[in-house]
Amino acid sequence: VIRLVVALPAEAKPLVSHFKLKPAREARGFKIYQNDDMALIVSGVGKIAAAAATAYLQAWTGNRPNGAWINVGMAGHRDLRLGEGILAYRIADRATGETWYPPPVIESPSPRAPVVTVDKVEENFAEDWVFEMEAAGFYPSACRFATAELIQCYKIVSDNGSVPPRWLSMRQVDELLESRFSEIDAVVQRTAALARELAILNKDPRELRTMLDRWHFTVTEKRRLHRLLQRWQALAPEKTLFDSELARRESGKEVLRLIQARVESLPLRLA
Amino acid sequence: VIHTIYIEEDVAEHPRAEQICSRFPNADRVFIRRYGEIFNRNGQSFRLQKKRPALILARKFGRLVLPAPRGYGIGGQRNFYFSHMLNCVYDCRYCFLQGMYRSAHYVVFVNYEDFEKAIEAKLEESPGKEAYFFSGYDCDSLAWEPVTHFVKSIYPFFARHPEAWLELRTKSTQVKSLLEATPLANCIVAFSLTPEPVSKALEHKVPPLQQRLAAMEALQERGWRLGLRFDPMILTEDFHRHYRRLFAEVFERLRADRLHSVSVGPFRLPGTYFDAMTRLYPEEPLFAGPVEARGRVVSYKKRLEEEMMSFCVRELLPYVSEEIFFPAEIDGRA
Repeated sequence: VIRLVVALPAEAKPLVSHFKLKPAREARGFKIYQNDDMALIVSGVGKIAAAAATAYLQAWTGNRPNGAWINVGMAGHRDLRLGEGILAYRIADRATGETWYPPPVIESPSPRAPVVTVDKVEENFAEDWVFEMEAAGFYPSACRFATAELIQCYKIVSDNGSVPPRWLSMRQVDELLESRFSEIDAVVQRTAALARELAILNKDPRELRTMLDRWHFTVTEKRRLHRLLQRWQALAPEKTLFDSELARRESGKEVLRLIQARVESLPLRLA
Repeated sequence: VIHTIYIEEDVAEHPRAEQICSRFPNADRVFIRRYGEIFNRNGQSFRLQKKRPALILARKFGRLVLPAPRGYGIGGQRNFYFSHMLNCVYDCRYCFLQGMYRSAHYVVFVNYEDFEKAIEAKLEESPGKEAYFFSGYDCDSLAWEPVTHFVKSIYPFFARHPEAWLELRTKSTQVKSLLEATPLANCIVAFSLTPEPVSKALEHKVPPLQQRLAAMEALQERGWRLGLRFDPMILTEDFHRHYRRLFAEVFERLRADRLHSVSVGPFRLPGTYFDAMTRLYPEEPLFAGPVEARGRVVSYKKRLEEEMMSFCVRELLPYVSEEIFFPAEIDGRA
């Protein structure tokens, strides 16, 4: 599942429509929209709200590790044009001085820039940073649930040195986001592709469920079984292990012995 | 191509950092305090980063030159290693770096001058006595030479210190700078070799064997002393045929009497690294093979390993004199 975190209902609306998400009526405390592949949460403004929403969304989506996480939102910058999209290469919390560096593994569809999270709306863009209010809450919270390569922070400039911070109308937010849908899609798809690669790796070996349903294994034996089945799959990807000889085994221990013997009899073909 | 360069503020104006940055004019430049902020963080995926690694330019402090692990030598009594770079541009599936580091980004320590001072200090501990310095333990010594110019930089130092032996361990064909220089009698250009099918399956991005043999031939012709490192020795179907053919190909192209040394050693890894690598690549047949833990090291089962070693030793001895031959001790492990 791809997880999106946005601060405001106005930011959620165009994304909900673009990704065809439906409201999750059972959600409490936060608004969540979802479909089979994606869930979006509306965190509210500020890093604490963003951190709490990120944790809630993790639990809401089944608490599985290594999903793709993307924080999408509006931000300010001294010089960048209104509507410009950026992907964060650094996220700093101005209040605490803490800094994070999202690994640049995906090809960015937009320029990359440093992002600083502030506690109050910034009116004086003194440094060459993208100013916003959620990333420093979202990012470390998401890092608890996924490897850093799967967590991205994408911001759209809504105010700058010439156009001061202000409440945007819903229509203006719609327009800003719509103008960057192709970039948001690219970030979502590229990050999701990395997440899929990890998901395939973490998938249980093919015949694990069959074995676990049929025999009892201790916790240690389960780990051994898991690795033996992984080895079998690596060495004989086209072969099935379960057969009548295995079916005749009475205990988990006997099963492990037989599988080990079979794994060790396989030739080692490297490619 | 490098898309992102992290630069320690401390080395931002180091001429070498500037020169390396100039090779990648379109890369994003991100200034950082210390490379550990990026490189040593928890919760990173080596496998995913390897798809698009960034470059980190840093200054190395403290222990720049370290005693080499037991069994790493080629006849010398005093053996040390040093690494001007962490991580490798190649992607060899058996490489311990995957198990050792959290990050696949390349770190280049640009203060080469401090490596020279540290090597000099080791030499001064036993004046006039030979010492061996191995480069290429945490990286490939030559693969990134066009970017780092490391060998070119340390060449004059080793030219001034004939008692200091330098081993450049590589799988690269980046030998241009060596071919342009006068060969050093105290420098060994040591090539790690596996049979072509093994290389194709496991040594991703490494130049084809024939190209490496051509580079080796050119170096030998120029007068550089070569080392051959059949290490790690990798089990595969038809192991005997593949290794016999490799040895025949190598000694058909190279003059054995001009070699500095030949070593052979089995695939072995610290157990913690092996486990980490298996988690990164559970689908990899190499890690699914007949290995066992012996002490803190994982390697092929002992009888199998002994058989593989004795086969290689038997096959190599007709080509190589015993004085320059260094088979690894099976139980000589860290």
